[in-house]
Amino acid sequence: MAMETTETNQRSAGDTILETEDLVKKFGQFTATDRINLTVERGEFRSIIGPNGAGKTTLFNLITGALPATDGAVYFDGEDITSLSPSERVRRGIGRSFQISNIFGGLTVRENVRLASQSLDRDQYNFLQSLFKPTGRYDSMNERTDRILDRIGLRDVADETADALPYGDKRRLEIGVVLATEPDLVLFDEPTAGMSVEETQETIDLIEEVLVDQTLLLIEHDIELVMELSDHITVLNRGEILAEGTPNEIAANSDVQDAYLGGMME
Amino acid sequence: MSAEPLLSVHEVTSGYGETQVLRDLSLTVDGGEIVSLVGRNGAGKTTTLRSIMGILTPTSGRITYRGEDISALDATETAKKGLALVPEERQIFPELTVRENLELADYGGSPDVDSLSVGEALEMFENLQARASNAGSSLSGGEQQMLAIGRALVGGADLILLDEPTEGLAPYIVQDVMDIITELNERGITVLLVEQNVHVCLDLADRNYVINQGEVVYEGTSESLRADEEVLDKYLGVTA
Amino acid sequence: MITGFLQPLVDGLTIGVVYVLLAAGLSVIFGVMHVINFAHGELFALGAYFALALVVPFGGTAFFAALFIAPLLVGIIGVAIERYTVRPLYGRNPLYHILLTFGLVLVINDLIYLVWQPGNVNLPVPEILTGTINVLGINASVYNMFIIVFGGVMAFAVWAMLEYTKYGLIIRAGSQDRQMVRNLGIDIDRYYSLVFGMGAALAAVAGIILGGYQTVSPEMGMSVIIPAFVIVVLGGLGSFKGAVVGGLLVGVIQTVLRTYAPIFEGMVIFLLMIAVLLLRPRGLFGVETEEEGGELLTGSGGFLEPQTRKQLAIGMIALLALVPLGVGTLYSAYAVTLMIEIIIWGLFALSLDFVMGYTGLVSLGHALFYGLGAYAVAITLLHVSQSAFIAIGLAIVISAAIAWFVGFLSIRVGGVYFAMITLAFAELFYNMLYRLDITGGSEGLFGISTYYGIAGMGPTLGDIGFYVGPVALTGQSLFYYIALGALIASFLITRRMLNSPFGSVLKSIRENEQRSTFIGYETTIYKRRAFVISGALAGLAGGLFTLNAGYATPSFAYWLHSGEVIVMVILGGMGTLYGPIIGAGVFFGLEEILTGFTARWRLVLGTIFVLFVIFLPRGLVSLPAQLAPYVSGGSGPGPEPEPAPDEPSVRGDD
Repeated sequence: MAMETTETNQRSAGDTILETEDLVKKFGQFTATDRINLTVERGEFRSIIGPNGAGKTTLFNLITGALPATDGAVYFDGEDITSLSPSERVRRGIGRSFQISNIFGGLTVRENVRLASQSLDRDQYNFLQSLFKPTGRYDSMNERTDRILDRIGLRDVADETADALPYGDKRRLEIGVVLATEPDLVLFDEPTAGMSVEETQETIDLIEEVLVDQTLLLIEHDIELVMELSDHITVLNRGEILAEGTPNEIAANSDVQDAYLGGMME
Repeated sequence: MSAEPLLSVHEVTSGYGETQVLRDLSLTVDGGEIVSLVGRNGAGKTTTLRSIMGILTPTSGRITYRGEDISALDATETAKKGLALVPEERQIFPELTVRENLELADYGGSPDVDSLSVGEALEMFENLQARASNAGSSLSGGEQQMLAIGRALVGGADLILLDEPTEGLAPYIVQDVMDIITELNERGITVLLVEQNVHVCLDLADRNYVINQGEVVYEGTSESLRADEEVLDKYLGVTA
Repeated sequence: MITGFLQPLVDGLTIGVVYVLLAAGLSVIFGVMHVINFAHGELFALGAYFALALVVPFGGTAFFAALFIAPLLVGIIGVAIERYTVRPLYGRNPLYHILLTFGLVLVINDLIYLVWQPGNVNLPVPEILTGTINVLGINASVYNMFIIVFGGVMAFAVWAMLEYTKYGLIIRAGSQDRQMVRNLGIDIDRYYSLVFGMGAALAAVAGIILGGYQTVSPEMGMSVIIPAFVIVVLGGLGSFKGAVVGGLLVGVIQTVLRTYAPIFEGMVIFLLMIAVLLLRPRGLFGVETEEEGGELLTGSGGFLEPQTRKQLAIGMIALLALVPLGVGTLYSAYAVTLMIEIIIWGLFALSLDFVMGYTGLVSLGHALFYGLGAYAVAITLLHVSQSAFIAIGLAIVISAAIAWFVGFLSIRVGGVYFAMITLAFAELFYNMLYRLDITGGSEGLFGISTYYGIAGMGPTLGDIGFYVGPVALTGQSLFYYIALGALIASFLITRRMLNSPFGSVLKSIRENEQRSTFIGYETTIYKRRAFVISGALAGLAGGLFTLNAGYATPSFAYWLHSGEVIVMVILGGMGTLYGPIIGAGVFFGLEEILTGFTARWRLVLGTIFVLFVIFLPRGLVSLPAQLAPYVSGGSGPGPEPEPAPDEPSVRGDD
């Protein structure tokens, strides 16, 4: 499949935050991703689209370390992170938000955010402290927790159990938890799945407002949304990159039309 | 349209846990029709099929089949009434042989007497005939799809819910699958088809429903949908 | 020479065939329903006893009739067990099936004692099956040959049934994809009873033929269930082929070792199982299956205001502190002995709760650490130093070290496999205790004395006495305060840990391990640390017991002990720390009351436990919150809804 090459490195600095090199994932006979070479620039909003089974979620799992790669490499900030565990990648600045609200339902809102915040600080105190010093006495951690609760607008309900929140607030909390790990790159897997038009808009507004400094990598099915938000779009099909470019370029790409968007015009 | 549709979905709300995927969705399917559901990923197509089949129970609304309320029935019960779901992942039993997969369907399904026998189903799909004693896991994607449809036929289904039958298949096999769907219909079987490939839908279906955000936003014949550029562009992302 | 080797092989195959019949049912039940059936050994014993009841009045020839009637009866019991106890729990975490069937073990085992009395009985076999025949140049017992042939035929029949019949096809399909079987219009749930009944009947057949070979006793179920689990896990949960290969393998290995290297008998199979699980976590022939969902249900606290709770706790402690003062006036010294036992088991239960209730790791072998602590204290006092402090210190350190090792090997295999691997380690240790000289073999270690001090300086409890009027505080009563102090300190320390960053990570793992990983925690390390702390506390409990009682026996590490401590945790309410302590109190309180009426108190306790697992899985501490809406007209917090049974295959990716 010919790739419609367009100049994607429009930033003069060419400051790459994430790069995958010939990334392959096989499940038995099945090749889920086939030599994917993806480059994401710092500060970019990149969307990944493609039909079901194109390998989008697998690619996310490879980037975050949820799955080991069969072959190839992942570089983050120039460092080879291919063999790092998911938690080590989080600590280097890769945050992940999940498809279905994936928070600690039985804990309070504050505990949810604090856990993420605590993860950042944990080298600052020794093991005995972490065993015996009550969480309430770590000032910088708690201040940061409060700041994030303010930013996501959940300070007032901080002591409620997360399960008790309405759906929209759970979404906010989910994003707050990601934010609290202070990521440089955030991966979103269908953040608006199952939402009404208004909820979708609210979620997008929240992401844009709260994660303004981060590089964002988004899997999304709502093409309209993708076209509106993205700086660049990568289209996957059958585990390969079919096309890459700005929203306008993708909309005009005939391969994409054929393989993904329905192939109306032959 | 006849007075009473074969299947009627009336203002159904359904989803997973707290996530409501369908919002007051309504549609009807008449006996002998091929009806398609099109829409983007996440629009609620699979959820609609699962709700009809009884894998999911709608939180509100009503689903009737041959005039009988089946909203509260589970998948076992709807299967006995003559519905069959051919799921997106096909869900072939990997460690059973092709023949055993079909035999199992024969034990279940509706008590319909004129359903296909295992032998007839194997005859209908040449590829399966040759691989009758191979394990389900050894089949290619296209063969799995045939087997999944074969199971529905052996089970004596009158209404087959087909979820993305062409997904992940090579183009020449897509054509085979389309031929099979046409053949099913000629045998008098009603088909409710979910497809991402608008092309396949417009070729096969008598009527189409376009779904967006769990709601029906358009209903019409293939000719009228083909002509409606606004709908195609807005909901299916197909630009002229 | 050859016959010398063939004899153990024939004996091994004989036992192996019995294991195959036992394990086949266990494995198929797991494959289709994801139920780990601890009661399988008791169904095996029931088969033997039913046969006995038929054979004794009618003589040996009734044996053949019994071989069909008894399994049929046990099969019917199996169907009833599935329908009335197992069925309500589908959709919950598989742990609850383990707990339920453990409760059934207590019930059925005591029923057997009640009806048939303790002791070994011979099951008469027909004349025709006695004597020896000459096969391949060796003299083999006819009965051995009968077992091998009959058992082999039975196993073959089961295989043929699975492979060639309609039922078999449905059962095999059900173990691969239950939802799709339902989609095809087959009511798979109806077949569950059948599978359970069939497995029970097979176990009964195994019990009968083994009963005719050895003897029949109420303990026979307990002695086969653990090897049967080893076989099933070794072969691969859910795999019939695995059960056959594993059964024969374990039967032969056990028997050959008994002949040539008796010291390793009972240890090698556990080592084998651990090794196989570490290399091939799904067993020899197992296939990857989805881990069953369903959360562990923790006790719901928060019913009372924090202030009230604190006052209540202080009141309880004050009351407990007063207990020894009443000795001689209000009650006998026995009350203190009983309270010490409750306190020590309360500590043991608390240790398990720390790892089970807060990280979701179900350790089925926690008696390992209790036993380690006890033996560490005994050996230290006998051989190293008579100082209680040094002994207890060593008990804690050794238990913690072994916990680290066990955790290091087993925590990466999750869920049911973790439970099985911990069980295997505990049984390995239990068997070692029997065979090593330093642990005193089956007698254990006793005649231990100690003093409370260090480097030879310090009193023994016998030296001290406080006398105020009628109140005398001596020996046992003083130890009571030591135990109480240890319990309170452990409670406060663990509670403190749970309020610290470490503990909040543990809670996050219990809630959602995947998410915990994705906010940057290496969850395996946290779980292992929790397991080490838990092991250390269990070691402390065992050590305290031996310190006071002056002995240690292998039974401390027996799997029934591991089961009992889980019973206490569930009874009280897991994930609360104080719930399990209450559970221990209720457990021993019930035992105390019930033994006044009957020696078969486990029957009542088991029944209560089964009812708890089904109806009140969050334990006693959740009772007030459950009742509140009815008592105070709905002002209290409502009961937490039970999670709806949902299929793990249902996903939201449209």
